[in-house]
Amino acid sequence: MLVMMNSGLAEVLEPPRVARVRFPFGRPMGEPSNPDQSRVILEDALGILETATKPGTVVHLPYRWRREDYAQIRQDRAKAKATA
Amino acid sequence: MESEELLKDLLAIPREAAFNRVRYIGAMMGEEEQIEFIKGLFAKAVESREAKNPDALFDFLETWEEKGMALSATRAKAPFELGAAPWSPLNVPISKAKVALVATGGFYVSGDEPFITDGPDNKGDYSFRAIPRTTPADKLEVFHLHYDLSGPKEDRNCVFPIDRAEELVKDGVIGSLADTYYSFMGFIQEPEILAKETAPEVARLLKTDGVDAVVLTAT
Repeated sequence: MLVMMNSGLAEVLEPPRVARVRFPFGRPMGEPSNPDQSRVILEDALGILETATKPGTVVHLPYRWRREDYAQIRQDRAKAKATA
Repeated sequence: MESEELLKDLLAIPREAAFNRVRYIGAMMGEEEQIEFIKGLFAKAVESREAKNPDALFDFLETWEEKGMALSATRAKAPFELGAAPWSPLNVPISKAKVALVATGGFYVSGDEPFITDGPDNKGDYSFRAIPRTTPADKLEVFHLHYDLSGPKEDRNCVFPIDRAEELVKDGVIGSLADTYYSFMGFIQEPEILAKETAPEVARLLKTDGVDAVVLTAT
């Protein structure tokens, strides 16, 4: 399971499973000292590990770098899990 | 000043992380596209100010960063025949799986040899370093000349999510974690040796440790 920024390289190299993030190079899990952001990305990566069914799966994660409320995303996930 | 020089001067973009994707516009695009970018940037800046909302400007920058990255990828090619994408199905749910982390960011434990980030022939370094899972943050070093290290120096988790993985085990999301993680340094000009020797060796070590899945982060 690979978390990477460069979507073009993902196409050329075809790793088995890719979580592709639109983050600056050197920050695949998000901003430093933003534990909610790195948690969300790691959870998504693990989710792809469980759900991908074929090699060369590239999932483009939708997050817009600093323009997301990652704490809220985590709260929403916790709520969804509690009601599931 | 000639227009070509003027553009070069305008697009001489700093090397910090925040700029590292937009750099492709100066490095990869032709004059017409660069002019289109600068005109658009001006228009979006004014539009965003009028709207009291920077979203239009941010979206514009991200769209152009994506364009630049796509252009760079058309020039990229696999360094050797890779064959079909490999596949190992995950045979256990993550909540029962043993997970390891592997990062390419140039991490090593204090006292170990740092990576050779350029070397005498500018060939980089295809070796790896073992990183014990319990390595305290102040004993985890990082050295790499080819990306902005200010992020991982402030917080390793932005590249190597060691502390997040611990939290996920505690919360029951991950079954367990490997005792040893691994780090590479992504500047490798001899990828054949990586592919034939060091990467299979790390895979073997992970298998021996009973690891079910690896989260690999690329810088």
